[in-house]
Amino acid sequence: MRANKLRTALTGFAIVWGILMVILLLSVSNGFHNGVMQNFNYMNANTISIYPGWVSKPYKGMPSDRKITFNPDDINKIRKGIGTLVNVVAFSPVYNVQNAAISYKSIYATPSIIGVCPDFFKLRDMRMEKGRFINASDMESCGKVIVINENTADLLFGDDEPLGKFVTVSALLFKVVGVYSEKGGSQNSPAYIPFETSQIIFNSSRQITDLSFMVEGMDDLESIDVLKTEIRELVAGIKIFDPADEQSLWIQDRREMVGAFNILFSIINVFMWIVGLASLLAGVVGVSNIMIVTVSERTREFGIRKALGAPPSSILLSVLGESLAVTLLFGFIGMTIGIAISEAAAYYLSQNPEIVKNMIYNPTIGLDTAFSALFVLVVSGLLAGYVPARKAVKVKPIEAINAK
Amino acid sequence: MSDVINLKGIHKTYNAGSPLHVLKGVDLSIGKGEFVSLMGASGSGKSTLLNIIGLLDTFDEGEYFLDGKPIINPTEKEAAYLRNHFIGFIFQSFNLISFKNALENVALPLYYRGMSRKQRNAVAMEALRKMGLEQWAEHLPNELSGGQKQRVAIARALVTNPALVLADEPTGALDSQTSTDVMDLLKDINRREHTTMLIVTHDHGVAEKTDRIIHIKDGLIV
Repeated sequence: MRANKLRTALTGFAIVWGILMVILLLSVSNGFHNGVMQNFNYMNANTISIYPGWVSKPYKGMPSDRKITFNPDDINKIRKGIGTLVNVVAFSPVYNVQNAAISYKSIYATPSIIGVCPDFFKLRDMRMEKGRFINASDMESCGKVIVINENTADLLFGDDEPLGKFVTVSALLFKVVGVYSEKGGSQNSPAYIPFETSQIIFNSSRQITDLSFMVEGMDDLESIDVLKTEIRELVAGIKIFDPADEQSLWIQDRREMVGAFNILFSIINVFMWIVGLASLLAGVVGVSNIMIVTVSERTREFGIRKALGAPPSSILLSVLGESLAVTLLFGFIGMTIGIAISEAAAYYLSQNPEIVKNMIYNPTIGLDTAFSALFVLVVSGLLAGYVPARKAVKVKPIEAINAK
Repeated sequence: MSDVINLKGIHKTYNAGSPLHVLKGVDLSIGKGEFVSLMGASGSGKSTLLNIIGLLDTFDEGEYFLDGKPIINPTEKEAAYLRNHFIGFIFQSFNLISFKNALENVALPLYYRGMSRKQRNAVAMEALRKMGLEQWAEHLPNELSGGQKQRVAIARALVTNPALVLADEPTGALDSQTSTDVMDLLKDINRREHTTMLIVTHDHGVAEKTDRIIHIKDGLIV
């Protein structure tokens, strides 16, 4: 192959192209995946939320058209009940404060204001940038403290330090104790206050928005479905409604939605692999062909080597090694180009996200995919070398002697 | 048994279309240190016999002892090992590897013995020195004359100190003066190193330089 650089380069181009296609297709597929998943990312995947609804059927003497509400006693019972069904890592009732705005001096922001327990921090994929989240002593003392998004903080305070400042929420002063960040965060990302505080100040009727909790050890969708049925029965027992009455309770789990999308993207991913590998296969066939020609040209050399005592394994390894070297060399070139293009595209899209309407985000491949591609290259190299190597092994030393 | 080669009733038939019975029961023994030539017309079976002796081809019937060891249907791996350890080949067309220099060509059999690069280059250099080709060590075969090429090939055949050197028309591609030189060289090596040599030729002048001439005709030693 060394002797015929043009021929090798032309064949190599097919390998470069093949692996480039694999990388680019997988990058786009990943980018699409990341783009859609970003919309779910603020919530941890194994979080389940229960929303009280309206009872639509009479049941055990109870009338229909009742609104389900959870009082603190109900919340405790539900929490304990779920604890017997599954390992609960975090649990928080959630109350959305209606029609509230935050202001500081003359600046207003309109995030949703949500009353939560300290555990809520684990349910959201959020990170504290400054200060702390709601804690247990806030709950006990019904403290008027608030945790706001970094974007809200920028809007209200500009360059000033937000921690320790007092903001006005519905004519009451709340002290800012923490600033958090999350993916896709904005000025309107929620502001959090202690659940107890939200109940006392804003919610005399005790109608919570939902109960959210995070579970452990639920790895498949079937067991989550079973759990959801069990939760429905549990809550139906406490609030006395027909468990078959779908509208009385809404149970939403992120895992199910994320799971459905994950399946979709797995299928897309497999499809991309197939298309990419098919185009790589053309390169493999090319290398194999060129290796067969090379082996034919080296018949005499292999014959001489055998006469001098070369064992079949050494001939086999030399041809396989050459095919592997060529495939890997051009494969790496293709991989480098592919990764460079996808990284450049990722950078460009991060600067101009409106072009793809946030549908594609970070279209790059991970290290694991790069290693898979490398593995594919090694297999391709061996595959491309196999037929030529067999041919080389079968060369009879006599052919060298008889060659003129 | 001090014979390097001992053949008893060797038969070989080629099945290319119609069966061709090439060797019809060859008996032959060549002792240690002998300098022998094998003569015969083309088609007499001399090349086939040489290939069988050199483990480059198989035989159908008979017994073959190489340096006292019976050769019974060796695998390609075993045959390669035996060729590497017991036999040195000299070919009519030299059969040097064109992209390797003289030293690398001579060192190649040692590579297949698993010798380190440093060691095999030293041994190969010594073999080249004996052929008076020291200063040509770094040259590629196409930069050498025919006689020089054949001397590189001889160095390669001898570098492993084989029990047997098989030469197939070693002077066939050389002019008469160079042919004489090469034969003198081989004879000299035989005298000094007591290397057993079997030279296949159809040239009487070459054969007469050897100590014993074996004639083969129609697949039989005559």
